[in-house]
Amino acid sequence: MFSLVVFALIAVAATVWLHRETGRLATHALDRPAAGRGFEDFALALRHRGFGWWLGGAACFVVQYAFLGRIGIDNVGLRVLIIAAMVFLPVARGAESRGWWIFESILLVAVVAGFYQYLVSPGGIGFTNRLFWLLVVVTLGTLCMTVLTRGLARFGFGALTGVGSVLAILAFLGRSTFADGMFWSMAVLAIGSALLLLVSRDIVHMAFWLLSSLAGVAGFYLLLGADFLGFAQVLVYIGGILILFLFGVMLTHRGDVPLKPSASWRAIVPGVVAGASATVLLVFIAAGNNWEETPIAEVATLGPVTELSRYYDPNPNLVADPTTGERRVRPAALPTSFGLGVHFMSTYILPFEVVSILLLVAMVGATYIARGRSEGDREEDFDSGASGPGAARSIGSGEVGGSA
Amino acid sequence: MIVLDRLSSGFLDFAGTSFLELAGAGVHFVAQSAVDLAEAGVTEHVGLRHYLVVSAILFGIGLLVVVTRRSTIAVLMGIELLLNAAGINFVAFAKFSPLGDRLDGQVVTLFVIVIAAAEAALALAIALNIFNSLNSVELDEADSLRG
Repeated sequence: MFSLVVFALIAVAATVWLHRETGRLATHALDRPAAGRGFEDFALALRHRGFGWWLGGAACFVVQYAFLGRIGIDNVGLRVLIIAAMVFLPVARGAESRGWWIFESILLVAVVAGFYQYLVSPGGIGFTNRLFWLLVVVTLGTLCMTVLTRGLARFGFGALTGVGSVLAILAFLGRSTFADGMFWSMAVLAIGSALLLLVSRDIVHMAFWLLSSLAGVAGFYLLLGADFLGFAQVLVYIGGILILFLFGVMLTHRGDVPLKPSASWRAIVPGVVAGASATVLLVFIAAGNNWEETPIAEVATLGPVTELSRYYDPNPNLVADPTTGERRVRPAALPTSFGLGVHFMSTYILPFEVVSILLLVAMVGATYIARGRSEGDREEDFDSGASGPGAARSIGSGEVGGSA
Repeated sequence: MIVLDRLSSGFLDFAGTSFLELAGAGVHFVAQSAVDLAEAGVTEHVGLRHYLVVSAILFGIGLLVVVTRRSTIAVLMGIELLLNAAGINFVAFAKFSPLGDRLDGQVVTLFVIVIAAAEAALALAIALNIFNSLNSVELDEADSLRG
């Protein structure tokens, strides 16, 4: 018992020394004139320390490690995580950098998850499962991405890509297939970007988060065997609609107002309640319903038999033998563009034509609505008597609204 | 979808217990769900439900963006998210249909994309007009029918 008390005192001393030293490191990094306050400055400060300092740090680490083992935490990973969380706490506090806090919170989450795992599992097996390695790789990936990039926007993107690639790698190493791994990466990309769009403060950032969310949706289309649709998504949404949004941002930007799309506070509470309950309801419906679903192995063998399938089958996973007419299973998906074209020209000919007219009308209408007020419109303004604040500004060659 | 099954089956069992037990059960549920999700995610085969759940989450986020933002352009971005969630549903249902792999869902989604393009162009033109007359694109300020 006495030796345990002495041990505890030594461990506390080691912890205090480590805390002071790492805190000084952080402030040293903070004092540097090239005020980056990032990981680079911290690494530079670390490099200026002597050999004795490293030796002391290693000794402290060993003492803490042994002490944690002595009080009953016999799991290696958990011990290392606890020490790391303790060491980086003063750094995060001193450096006042958001990246450090994110790193520290990931460590703390890992420690909590580790304790939970440790307490729940009967033999204290703990960190032999995949969740632990997921946390480790996510932590390391986030760290690397933060070192490589700067700023929260890029940090968020780096973290997203890091998590996505980690999930893909896990899926590769695990029992899943490539398509499943890609599904999880795309899910992280689409939902994570949409969440960042929700919380983003800058409207241009919102546009770019929309871009990466829509790219995730395009990935879903490709995974579902819809190649034409996936590329149409990239062309129309990312190439067209998003640029339109950026033009909209640019044209409606007032120089004196920053580009912050403020949330309406009156709508936040009911909005969050409505959105969250709608999400929960939809998720319950989607996951709780017993859908009559074709298993993925059978998707490739079923298919509608049509007259068309004698020479070409619109089903991407089936192909008809041109000589015998026998339907065979193709291992990989065929392009869907032929089948889509046939559908557009036969079954869906009326909606197709209606949509063409709709596009024409929308184009003419948008041009009409968005036109600047020109000379010819002055009479119109005069007739309606529209002056005042309404007609105060116009875009293009227009004069300031006609004086009534 | 082990997590959701557990949530739906064990939801009412929490009633009648003390707050501490409730909190403990909540913590247990969240942590165990995270473990389940991480393990199920890399072992369970991706099927129709996975796509439906992802699209439901995207739809909810889009709805939140539409309801909480004040800028017209931000609201339009939320609407694009809603339309994309619907598109995923169409394609996924067509893919896993009991009738076999169909192209009808993809056709409908193509129509949705076209209509979304038309809608975005028109709505941005209207936003431009609002900006011209009100000198702002905040939806709260556009409360008058007069131009």
